[in-house]
Amino acid sequence: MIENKEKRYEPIIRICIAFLVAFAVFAAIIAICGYNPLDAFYQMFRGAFVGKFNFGSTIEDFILILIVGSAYSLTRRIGFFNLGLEGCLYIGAMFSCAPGFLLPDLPSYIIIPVCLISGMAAAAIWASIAGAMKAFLNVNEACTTIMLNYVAIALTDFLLNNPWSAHSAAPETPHVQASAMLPKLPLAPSRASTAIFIAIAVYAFVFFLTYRTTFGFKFRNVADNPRFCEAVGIKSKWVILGTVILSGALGGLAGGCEILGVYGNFIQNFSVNSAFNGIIACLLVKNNLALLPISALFIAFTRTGGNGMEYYTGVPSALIDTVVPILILFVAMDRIFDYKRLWYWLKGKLQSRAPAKAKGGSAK
Amino acid sequence: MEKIVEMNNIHKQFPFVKAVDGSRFDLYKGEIHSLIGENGAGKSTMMKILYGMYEIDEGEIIVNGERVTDGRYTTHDAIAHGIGMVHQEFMLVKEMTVLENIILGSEPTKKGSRNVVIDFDAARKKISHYIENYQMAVQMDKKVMNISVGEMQRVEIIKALYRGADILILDEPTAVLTPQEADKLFEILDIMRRDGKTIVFISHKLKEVMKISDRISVMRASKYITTVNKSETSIPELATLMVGREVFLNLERTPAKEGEVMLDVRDIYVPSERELSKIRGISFQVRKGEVLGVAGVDGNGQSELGEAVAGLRRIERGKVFLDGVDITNRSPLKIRRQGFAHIPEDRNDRGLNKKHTFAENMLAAEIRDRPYSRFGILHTKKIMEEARARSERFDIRPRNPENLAGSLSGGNAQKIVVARELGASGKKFLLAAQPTRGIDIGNIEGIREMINDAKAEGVAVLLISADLDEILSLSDRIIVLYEGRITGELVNDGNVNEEELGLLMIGGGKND
Repeated sequence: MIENKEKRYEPIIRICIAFLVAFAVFAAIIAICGYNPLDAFYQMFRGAFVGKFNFGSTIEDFILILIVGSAYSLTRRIGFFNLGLEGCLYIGAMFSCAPGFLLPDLPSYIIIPVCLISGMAAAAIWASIAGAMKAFLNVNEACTTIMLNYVAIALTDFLLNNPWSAHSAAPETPHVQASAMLPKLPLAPSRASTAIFIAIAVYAFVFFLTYRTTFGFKFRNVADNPRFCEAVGIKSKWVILGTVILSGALGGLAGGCEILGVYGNFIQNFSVNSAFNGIIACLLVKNNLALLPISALFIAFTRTGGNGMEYYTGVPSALIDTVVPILILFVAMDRIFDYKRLWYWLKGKLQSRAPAKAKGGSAK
Repeated sequence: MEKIVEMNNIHKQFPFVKAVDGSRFDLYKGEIHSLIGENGAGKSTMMKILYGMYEIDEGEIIVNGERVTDGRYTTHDAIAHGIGMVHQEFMLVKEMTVLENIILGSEPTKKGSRNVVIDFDAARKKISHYIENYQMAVQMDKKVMNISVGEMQRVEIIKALYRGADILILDEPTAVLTPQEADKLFEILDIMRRDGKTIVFISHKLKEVMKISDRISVMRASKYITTVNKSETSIPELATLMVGREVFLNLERTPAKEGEVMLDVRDIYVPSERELSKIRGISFQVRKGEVLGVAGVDGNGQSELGEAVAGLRRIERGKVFLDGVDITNRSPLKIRRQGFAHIPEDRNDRGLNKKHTFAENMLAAEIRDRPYSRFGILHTKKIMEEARARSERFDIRPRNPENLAGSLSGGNAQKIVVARELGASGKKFLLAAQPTRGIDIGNIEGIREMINDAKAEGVAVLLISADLDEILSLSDRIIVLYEGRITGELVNDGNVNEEELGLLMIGGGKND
């Protein structure tokens, strides 16, 4: 039993230390640029949480990040580097939008599910392309998913310019019928909607699926040891495909929530790289599902808080873009914050130094 | 005799584990000194300390009369003192030739070339000296990826000698060798001893230890127990010292019952990774309540046979029936549903998922079934209860099913595999491939008993093992594989001797 037994809370403590260190570095950067870091942090906090509009904007970002983060978490667990969520989000948004303006007026309780399910189904089919290529042909998923993102965006461009164009001045689709819109939260003038409940449900679903179901059991095993899975009768290939499809469907749901909750129609390039924020949220906590909401909230906070910081203190909000990479860097090498090993190392050094000195003294 | 190494009162603390607790060790010039103990007893750590890989917390090391622990003692210093070590995992560059591997890091250079041009001729000359003197057949110009494991080991030994080692530490050298290769190694070690080299042999295989050692030191639970002369001890005594209690490796074999045929293999052909038809036309039957042992030198098709029967490898030709049902090229899941249990030959590969808990590993094959899950939702409480019950039944330590499988010792990890395969009800057939490879003696005893008990309950067992003692102590009938064919079949009536089996294993024998 030479192996270290790691307590469950230890990785969490390491991540927290990484956060603190990253913020210290960020503060140093702000100070070097000639601003007061404490003031900047205060305005950042205000910009993200104080006031209906600020808080609502944070929630708006949080919804998207939490759904995409949960979706990404699924594939991350099977070792599938799913960068295709952006594409799934576009496809999901487009196909959630379409029934909203194509179908005749229907009551909310019918049209909203129809829209969301249509978007999820389309995104699931989209994701299955990369999933099947990975599972059966072992094609590198990072390549296929990134390339498919461009195809997905081009596809939505085609649809909103041609068959589903609103024929307005801007490249966009018609608005969905009023009953298809998700109700807004009482945080006007922000755009935060009741999609927050969908996001929480998705997160709970992913949590439950991962740890409490046989399917979760299978996909947790597949990445770590596919040959073990084969031997105990788990069909790895189908598990990989299934997980990727599910993840894609959730990515599509994120897109649907954006359309029905925020925009009301599909506008060209409505979401630039927003799916990647979800991926980052998941990477930031090393796919620890329990911490995912905190990390999602944190990313949302840096996005909205950055604006507040710029407005009131003059610190350029582009600077906020440095904090997340710094943080990822520190989390990736969180072993340097392995306080226990550090402790043992120090203890060992002290112990070995003391007798060595004593010996050295006696020898002389 | 001259004492060349002395290690006194050594302490070494790893995070959470005291790996060595006040141990001692010494070496006389020109002896083969075995260091034995169960897995995790601290033998390897002790020797890695001597080789300068770990710093000690307390204690002293004296090499050739010099107290090396006064200053910083590193591997570099150890090599300078003539200490060499061959690790359990070989440290060779597969893409390079044997010659390049041996000289790597201490290349001789041509005169006047300012240490730039490697003098391969000088290296070759020096190496052939070792090859001839110690009869270590190695092919200097072959790439390491193309040579056998036994040869890799000889390359490692030459590598150590090339760096001027007079004291050679071998960490479980026979764990990866076939019996023949092991015998060859012992011959080499014997010649080296006569040449004045000193050898430390780390092992837990007592037979081998008794064969080649002059003295034997025993470690148990991080502590030094005792040192004995080979001439004054016996295998049972060593086993008792090692485990701390008496062990009985000669288990009482339950007589075979004349049951109906459970597994029927009919003339199968199976490919390996590299060649087609590694197995060429094998037929045999295993009956209910008997153990059929498959003996043979490793690499003669045993792995392929096991995987083919388990549905993990395609069968080219021929049929396999389990209890009358055709399972040829069925999916592993379908085969398992027929009452098939499988202890895979490598627990780290197919046997366990080390990053997951003990409980999840133990119930991985049954997780879809009630009561462990319903409609796809896991019943965690039932899983934990069952895992705890099985850890009692199969004596897995520590008992806590929430531990990661990777945190358990080899023997206990293997017991998880056994508990998964034999703990479930309705098993008709067990394929046990190398069930006790690389584990400590106390657990070997336990696992063999479990297999014997399963047989007594009427399970048909196909036992594939490179360990002849294991084959002889468990099997009712024995078949011998040689180059993908069966070279002989014996009834294990107590009169089978190892020589007879050995002859069949190298292709000679009745049917030839």
